[in-house]
Amino acid sequence: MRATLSVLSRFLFVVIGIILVSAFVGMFTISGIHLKWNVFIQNVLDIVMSLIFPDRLIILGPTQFEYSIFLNFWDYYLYSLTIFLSALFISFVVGLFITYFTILLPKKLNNHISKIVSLLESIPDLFIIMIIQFTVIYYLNVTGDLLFPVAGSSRTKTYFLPIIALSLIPAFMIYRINLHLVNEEWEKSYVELARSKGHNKTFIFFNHVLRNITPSLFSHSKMIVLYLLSSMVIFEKLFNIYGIFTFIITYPNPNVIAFTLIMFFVPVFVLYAIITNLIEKQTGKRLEW
Amino acid sequence: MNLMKKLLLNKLFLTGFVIISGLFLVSIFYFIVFKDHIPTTSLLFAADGKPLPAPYSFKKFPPFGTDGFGRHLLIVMIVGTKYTIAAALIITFLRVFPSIIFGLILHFYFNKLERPIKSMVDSLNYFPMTLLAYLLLNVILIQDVSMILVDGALVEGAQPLPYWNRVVLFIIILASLFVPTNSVLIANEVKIIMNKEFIECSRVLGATNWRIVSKHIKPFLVPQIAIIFIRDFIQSLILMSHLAVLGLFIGGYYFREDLFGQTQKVSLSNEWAGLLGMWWEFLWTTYPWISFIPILFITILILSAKGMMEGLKVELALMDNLRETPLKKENLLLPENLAPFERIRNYSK
Repeated sequence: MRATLSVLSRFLFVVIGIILVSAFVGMFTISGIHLKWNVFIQNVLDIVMSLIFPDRLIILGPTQFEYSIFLNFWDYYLYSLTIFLSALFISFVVGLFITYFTILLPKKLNNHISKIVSLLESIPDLFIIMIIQFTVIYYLNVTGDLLFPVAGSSRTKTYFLPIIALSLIPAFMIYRINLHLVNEEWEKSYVELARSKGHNKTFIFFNHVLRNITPSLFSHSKMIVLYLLSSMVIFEKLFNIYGIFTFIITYPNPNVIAFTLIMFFVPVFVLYAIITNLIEKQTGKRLEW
Repeated sequence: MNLMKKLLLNKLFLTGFVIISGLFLVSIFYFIVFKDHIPTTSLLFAADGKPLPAPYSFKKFPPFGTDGFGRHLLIVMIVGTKYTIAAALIITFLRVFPSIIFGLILHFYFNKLERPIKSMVDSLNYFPMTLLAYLLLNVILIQDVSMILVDGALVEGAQPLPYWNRVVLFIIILASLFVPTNSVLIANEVKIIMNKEFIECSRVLGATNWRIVSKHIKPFLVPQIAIIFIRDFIQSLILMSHLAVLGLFIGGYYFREDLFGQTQKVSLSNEWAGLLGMWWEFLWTTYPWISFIPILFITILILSAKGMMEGLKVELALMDNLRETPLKKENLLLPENLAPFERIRNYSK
């Protein structure tokens, strides 16, 4: 219960932060730059009103005709959310499994691998996107089949490539954190005891070590979420995804920005509330994040 | 002084340092000797007199070939190097040094406000920085006067700012977006150091705030700031390239006719991030290597900075080890797995 409350209060803080920043952005985007306090306060009031009465969320179409954003908002929203959540999920699963395979390797190799991964992790995401897009196009040129659609359009949506490209670097990050945590855990005496009783590494990893590192891994996951979020902006542009960030860039009204971002965080926070509760029940540790 | 000597003997640090400064010096040398002159190949013709289309292959003009205007890409990259590195360095400097001052002020004078300020700043993180920078800069960096429809009549929009104002605003905005987070980071760190026993002893002996900062906090904080500086350098480069993909880069663009008389956008400063943003489209053409060149250079720059950071961390951990009772080598904390500030925490245990 207390865990849920702490997630809720964190969510409230994030909402306030987003409202204030959106109001600040509003001083720039609405018809020129007006750096005045009354404009700022006006924007804040406007955003709060729009959050209470969603009818006020209005955008100007290309023909200067006003219409509500809910005409096509949910399409954009669900598309982005699908890509975001699946990338998060895949990067965790992949990160965990590579850690498992590294544990099976001899100890000396382990150190070298973690050094290489820490370099790989800092490769810019743009480089990875470029290589992936180029490979698919090259394959298309040579053989004539398009493996996966490289870019989406308003009619056909592309899922596979963006999700894979988006989850690659977070998977490396999770792998590095995980490897560090597991190596620390592996020195502890209970692992030695389990080994001496004849359990193999697979059993110990999945039954004992994984359970013990979950809380620390989870507290690092905020960094991953934030990283994914700021990469999404670029991915939507380069893969031509009609998602929420494209929506925000096209219609930069302060109330639309605030509403979209807050809506995007609701599922993330629900997920976090559930997981913190589960971890508290399983391990008795209450997590701050 | 001792640390500097050790760093120069560290392989990772030395490699990174030599690559970055080498690139920078070559670019400066080219600026001084050749005045940034970019050699251009005029239109080539095939044996039967037909004109050959403009981006010439890297086989004909090694090592990188030319772009759509016949400019030699290697030289374009060399010219852009100094602007890229200088811009990233200035942004990083403006990100880190004001935050040291703000962090200290936050700790010493606004002690009661610390908690609310920290949670506010933390919630700022949830607004994606690339998006925020884009939304702000998109309005400031306009280059063409746009026509806006107001009440059924076309009205001229805001006038574009002069060139240097745009460059300065770009740098200041990119830097100031990160000052709050960095200040809180440093305030947290100062708080940890202030809780140590020797600070209390020093207080009892009558030390002022200034003496504590300059004599006791400085030796702990300086190595951390060096690590933060390199980390922020990498982040600034990544942010600059992200913004360039979205169409915003230092200095903006001008229009120029290519060899076939078609007008195209050209980066004014030839800075790498800008080139990356403009040449991305070549990926879909038959000249895909052109779009790989800038990102390769940026990646090399980032990896060298990362190498410098790893080398620095290893040397710092070794120094901590000497200061404490020397541990056996296998018990040494592996530094590459620690976030910037966890080192002190481990040291103080």
